[in-house]
Amino acid sequence: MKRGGPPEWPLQILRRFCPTQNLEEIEGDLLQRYARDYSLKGPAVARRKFVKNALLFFRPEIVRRRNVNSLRPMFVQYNLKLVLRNISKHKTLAAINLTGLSIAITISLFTAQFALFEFSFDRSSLGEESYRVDLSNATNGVFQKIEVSTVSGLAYEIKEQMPGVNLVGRLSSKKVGLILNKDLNFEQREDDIVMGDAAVLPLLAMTLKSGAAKSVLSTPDKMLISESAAIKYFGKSEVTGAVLAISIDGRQLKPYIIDGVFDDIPLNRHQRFNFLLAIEDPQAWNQNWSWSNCFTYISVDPKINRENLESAFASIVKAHHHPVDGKGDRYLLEAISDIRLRALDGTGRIEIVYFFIALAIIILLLAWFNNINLAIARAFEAVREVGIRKMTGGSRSQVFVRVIVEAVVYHTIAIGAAFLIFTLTWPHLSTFVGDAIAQTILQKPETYLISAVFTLLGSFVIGVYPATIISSIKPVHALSGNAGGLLNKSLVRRSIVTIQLSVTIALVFAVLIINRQIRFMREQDLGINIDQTLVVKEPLITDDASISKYEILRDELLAMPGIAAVTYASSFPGAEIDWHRADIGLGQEASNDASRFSSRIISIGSEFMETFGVNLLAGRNFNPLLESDKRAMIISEKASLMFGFRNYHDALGKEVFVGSRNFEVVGVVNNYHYRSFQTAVEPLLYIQGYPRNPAIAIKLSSSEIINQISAIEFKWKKAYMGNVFIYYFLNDVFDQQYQREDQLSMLTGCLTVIAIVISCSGIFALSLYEVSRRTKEIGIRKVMGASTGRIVNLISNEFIRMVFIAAVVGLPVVFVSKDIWLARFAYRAAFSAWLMVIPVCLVMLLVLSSIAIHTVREARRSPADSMRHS
Amino acid sequence: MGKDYLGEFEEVILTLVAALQEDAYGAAITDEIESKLKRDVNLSAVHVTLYRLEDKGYVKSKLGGGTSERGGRRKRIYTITAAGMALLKQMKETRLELWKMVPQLKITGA
Repeated sequence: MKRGGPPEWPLQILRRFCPTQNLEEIEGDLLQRYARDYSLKGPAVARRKFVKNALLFFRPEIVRRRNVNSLRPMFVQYNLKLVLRNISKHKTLAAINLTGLSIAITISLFTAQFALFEFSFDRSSLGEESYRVDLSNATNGVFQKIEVSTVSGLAYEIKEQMPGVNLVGRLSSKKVGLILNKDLNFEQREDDIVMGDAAVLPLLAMTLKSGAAKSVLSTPDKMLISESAAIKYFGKSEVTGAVLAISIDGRQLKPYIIDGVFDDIPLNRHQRFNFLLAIEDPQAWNQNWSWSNCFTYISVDPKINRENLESAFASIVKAHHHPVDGKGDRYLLEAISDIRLRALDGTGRIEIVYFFIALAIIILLLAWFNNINLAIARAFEAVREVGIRKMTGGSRSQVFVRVIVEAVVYHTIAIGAAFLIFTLTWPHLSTFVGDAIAQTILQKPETYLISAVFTLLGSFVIGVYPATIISSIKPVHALSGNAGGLLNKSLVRRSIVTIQLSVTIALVFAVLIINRQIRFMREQDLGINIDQTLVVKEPLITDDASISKYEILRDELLAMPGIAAVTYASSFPGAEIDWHRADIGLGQEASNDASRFSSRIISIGSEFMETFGVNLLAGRNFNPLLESDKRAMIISEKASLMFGFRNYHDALGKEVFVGSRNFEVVGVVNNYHYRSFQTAVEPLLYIQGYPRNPAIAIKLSSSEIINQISAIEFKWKKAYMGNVFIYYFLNDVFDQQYQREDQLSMLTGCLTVIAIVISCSGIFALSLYEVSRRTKEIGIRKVMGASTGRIVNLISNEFIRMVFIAAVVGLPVVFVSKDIWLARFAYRAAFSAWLMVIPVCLVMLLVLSSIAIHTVREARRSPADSMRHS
Repeated sequence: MGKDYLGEFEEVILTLVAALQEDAYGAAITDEIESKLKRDVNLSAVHVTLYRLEDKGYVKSKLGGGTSERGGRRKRIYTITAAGMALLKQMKETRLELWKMVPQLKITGA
């Protein structure tokens, strides 16, 4: 722009909308006016008036004059009309496309919601990153496993010795206890009571609603409570200073003063609890180096060198760990934001998150493939239309844009439908999957931006290839009825269908493997009978008299009709046995050499074997009348093997030391699975228990369970007064161990069905199209003598071939990757070739039935009709 | 008359096209309106009106010469058609007839 000249940009804008035939005189007049204003009123005014004058030409009377003589009509309106006309012309195809796409986008929404939730775990820490201290546990230099719980003395030592540590906090594992508000006489059993330091509040990004953050939990009789628990126990959230009586670990009720109320911990935290008690005996906790009783959280100065931390940890290990037992032990810092997804101990969920993201993408791709395929198929029909448009002056880009606009319309409709489905179903689904998540992705503005980007991207993905080939049609070919190079494009179409089919086959195969494994685990003989067994949880409040109650209660229960057996045990099948000793010796006290054994130990009543149908392989059961049997032990087959006895009888009479206590082996029993089949059978030692607060198992023999339960409750409450009666059925709880696999199997199954439906509907639509296109050909073939069977063959052969190719592609992928998933199970179902045959047959059947209806109908029509109506 | 009615602004423009003869084009007409009628008018309004008059058949146009101050762009020169001239005359006569109905007293008296 030369000095004094008018700005150029208004003219550029003008050119965008101004009719070409009038552009020259308008620009001329504008410039002339500018020159006049320039000389009369000066450059500034002239320039301003120039801009104003130019922009004022943007008015309907001018814009509408544009292209009135040309064949290019208004772009959006015209294209939309064409697309809608296309949709209503091919209602079935459009419906199939739209349904598939809507479902796929709905699945993507759900997956996005799920993934965002998983990725949001522990992301909202206040200030710097917090870490959990994990122990990489080794014995004599050989790595054993990563332990997430640590000894409580560690935190004390870290605080005292380590450089650059800002905060250290300990949190016990969750404890079961009874909580009582004496004023309201309201009591309840709670299973999320923890003990800990006040420092865990900032470390776990918890916020205090009331109470002074600096001084909470200063003495052992203080506690913090969550807002919802405060409302539950007091009916209000401002309860600082109030008192609750709490009994944990079966001890007497003890009063705790509420020091403050914290905001409810959100769902996306790895540690969630409602009651935080001060550490009962801080001195003992600080000194404890012998058993892991807490999680240790720390935050470190970001400037501190990692090597300094490691050497500090190394010196702690050296000072406090057993020289042999602890050789090779290392402490690791694990960012708490990694715990949910990438936990070092292998409980991370990242694989499952990626798995579902992958499934959602696969389903989306399948739906896109359908759209691409049908768009290509329609290219044949579009040949004539495109030919005429090009003849009358339409450009290639116009045709291209038309196809893309169609894809945009489809995506927009599908996204709208998906949002609707999501909104309607989310409240139901979220409660089904687990905890209700109120905040959905639809409340986040980014979702809409991403959806818009997704629409454009998706439209481009599914539109660009069909658009390219359709717009490349040559008018000469088109109008002479010759599709030009289009026929060669069926290779692309066939490959797309083949990919769809191979994905489908692979998914069915995977679902079969998962289900087979779950059924296998369910149907295995546990080696123990847990049917019709009721377990009553242990009483939490006991006194010195409680110890004598068990035998009386047992005898009373046994006298009831329909009760076959009653027993006590320190833990029952379906739960981990937490009594685990590594200092077991055979014949002598375990020393620090290789003669040490490690095993889980369970204390039982003498009725245990009978109640659960465990078989004695050698020796005898405990005899409660014999005083000497207090030092008797029964071992499992696996334990006998571990000790290296030649046979079961060889084991009898041997001395086994647990720490310094010695036991005499009196019997050997068969192995049984006290955990699900995900874990291998481990050695197990049984000793007789002397229950003060026993959990009891009751074997029922009749079917009138409901009546019996209230009778049992009555008797139990009489024995353990003031306690809450809580029971469960053993096989239900045992089954819950498969919950994770069940969910995986169910979700994968659902998604597979959806994938199958989308693929098959695509094939249905494609074959429908194929048949209608070849109506005349079929007529001619029939006139020439082809049978109905041959015609059906003609159409279906192509699809059958594709199924086989798909099988060759799809099966090996799953076959190779199945072992990764199966590796987590100690017992695996044997693989059988049927698992590969079934998916192929199933998909073949589905494909054939989706093409059968219209193929057969067309093939049976009289050739005269086929050739007339086409 | 009915459909042959012209709006006031259209009449002004049409009259100016007739008056300016070979010099009747958008910018010139705008200048005239501003200088003679002391009326602020927008260039685009003038253009739109000219196009409308052309659509109605009262003026016709051809492209004329360009000048340097127009950046070499040609002018669209408008000339009044016979129909346009007839309409203009008719409107003037109608106006005069209406004038005659107004009592003279009102003009002279005060």
